[in-house]
Amino acid sequence: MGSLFTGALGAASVSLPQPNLLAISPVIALTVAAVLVLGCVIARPLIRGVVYPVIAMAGLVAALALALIQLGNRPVTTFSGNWRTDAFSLFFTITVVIAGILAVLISDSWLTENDVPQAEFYAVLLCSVIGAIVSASAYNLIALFVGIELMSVPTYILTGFAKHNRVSNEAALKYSLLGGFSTAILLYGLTWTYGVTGETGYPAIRGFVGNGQGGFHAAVLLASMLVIAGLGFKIAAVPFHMWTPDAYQGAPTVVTAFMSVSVKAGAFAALVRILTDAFGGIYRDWSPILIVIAIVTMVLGNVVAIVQNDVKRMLAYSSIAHTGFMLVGLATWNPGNAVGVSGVLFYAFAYTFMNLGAFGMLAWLEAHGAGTGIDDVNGLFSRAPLAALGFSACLLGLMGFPFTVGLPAKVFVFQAAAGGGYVWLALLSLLLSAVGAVYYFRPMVRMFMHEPKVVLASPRQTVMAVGLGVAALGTVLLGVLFSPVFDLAQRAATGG
Amino acid sequence: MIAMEVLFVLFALAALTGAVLMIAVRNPVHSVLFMLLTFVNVAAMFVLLNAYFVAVIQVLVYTGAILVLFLFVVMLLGQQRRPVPEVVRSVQAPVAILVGLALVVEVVGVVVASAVTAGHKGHDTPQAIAAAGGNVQALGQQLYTTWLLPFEVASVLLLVAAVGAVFLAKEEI
Repeated sequence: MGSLFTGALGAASVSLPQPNLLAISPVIALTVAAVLVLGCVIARPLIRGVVYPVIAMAGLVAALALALIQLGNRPVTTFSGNWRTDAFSLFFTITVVIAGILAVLISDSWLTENDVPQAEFYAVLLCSVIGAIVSASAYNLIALFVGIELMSVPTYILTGFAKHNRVSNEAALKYSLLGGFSTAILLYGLTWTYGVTGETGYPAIRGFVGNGQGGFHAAVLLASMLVIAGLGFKIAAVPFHMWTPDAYQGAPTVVTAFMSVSVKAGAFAALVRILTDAFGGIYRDWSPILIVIAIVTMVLGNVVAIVQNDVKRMLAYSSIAHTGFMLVGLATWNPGNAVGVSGVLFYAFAYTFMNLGAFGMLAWLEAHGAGTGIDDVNGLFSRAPLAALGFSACLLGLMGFPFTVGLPAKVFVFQAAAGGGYVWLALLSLLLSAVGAVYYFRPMVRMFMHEPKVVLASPRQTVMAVGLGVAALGTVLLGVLFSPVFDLAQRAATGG
Repeated sequence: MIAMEVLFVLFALAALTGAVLMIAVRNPVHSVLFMLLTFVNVAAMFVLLNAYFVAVIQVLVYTGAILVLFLFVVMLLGQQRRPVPEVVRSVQAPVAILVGLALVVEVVGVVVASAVTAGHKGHDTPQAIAAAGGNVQALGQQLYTTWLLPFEVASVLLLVAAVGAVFLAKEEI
């Protein structure tokens, strides 16, 4: 790996790299779609609005197809070691592209009804998906940093997309300020890593860090802590979660649905890869810290969610709690216990359907003239039985109820914890996920047993209904037929 | 060699002073001017590190273009004196000082304990740069070969930032 870097500088004549374009083809498809969407604005008087979601969807479907056909291939490291396409990166690519597809489906009606410019929305959304893919595939600190930024900056913009809404403005400002702050911390960690090791490629860093012997161990440890803190902001782990409730509540609901899954998946992919690849040798040092973070994240997320009276804010805290559950899988990783990482992968995939579905249902309620308060879901079953059933499926999934994808996701992660020698942690997580039942059942009881309080308007939202149907069906079907996805996750975690 | 090290420490101290004062002063115009002090000193440190091209770019782009823009924005926005909120004075400031001190102790401890100078040097040594034909050549070569992918991704990042800025700032689009 090192020769790649020295060779480029030492050569007298510049030889352009021969990159493997198939490896980055999903990113190319999405970039082309994003630029096309923007380009169509020039011809705005001539074309109808429907062209924007169609182009965005075409780009996403093409990216999904290009990722799927590469699944069986051997791992490819290209672009001078900046990029690695393997089962791991493809798994996350597929996850975030599915999140993008569902987001396009549920956003359509919000955009047309509120007269929000569609071209800008879809272009920014696609760029965030690209950033998440780059973060998951980066095999070098610099590519990682650019990917994380490309994933985050669009979400700051999307958070403020309802630009005449003060709450949305405030959320966007808070999110971008704290996001910039966290980026600075991440960058400080990356510079420490480079300063100590003199390397930016993960394999080279791993070779230098070794098992943590040598006089620079403390410096490497400081670097990894700063990286954990920086990425901890993006995945909303306690104590770096302060922005989450405000940003999730203030952002347009369709945006919250998208960013709560895609940013989390992308940042988790980056965190898993840098910790297990670059800092894999010193897992004994970072895993206790991650365990502490995981525990406080689970406790705070689950407990504070109970007292929320706004379903959107409740789901924001639930999203913090789920970060804790996923961190359990990563924290108990060791070179002999890769099942932890496959648990994280599967969890991220499952979470995409459940959480996007749950926030999407809130967006559906808003599109029908309701709010996101706990009273607004009262009697939903008698008004719109399918919507109530879909919402319940997503909430049950988040709870980890049998016959939903939430159960296998939690089981795999807790199993990993027990397998890594942390039985007490597995039991504690199980207990805390039972606490989750308290707040997930609350809106469900109101949906089925209370009298309706708000009158729902009934515009037809066909596209949105399709998106929500896919999310809800995915939550239920994957709960039964989870083994192909889990096999893939396992292959990805073991470096297949 | 000693003279270089003394100069480096001097520039570093000046840069740090500028950085601290930038966030400590209440007047935004003064903040920008202290940022200028920091940037110029960082440029001087680049010169000491033989990174002449980066030093020039630092002065031209950061201190030249970006800070002038900052100054315009700050002055155009007007600057009424805002009182320090009570929560900042009573809670945030003490906590920030504590956390900041903890980080300083940690960093100093790490530097002392692990003798960072024992770490690896990167591949871009003065010899390698000379072999490539100088600063500009070495940078250009690296940017379009080794760092091609981050370079291209950064262009998408700039595109989306421009789109977002225009969208959020314009009243009607």
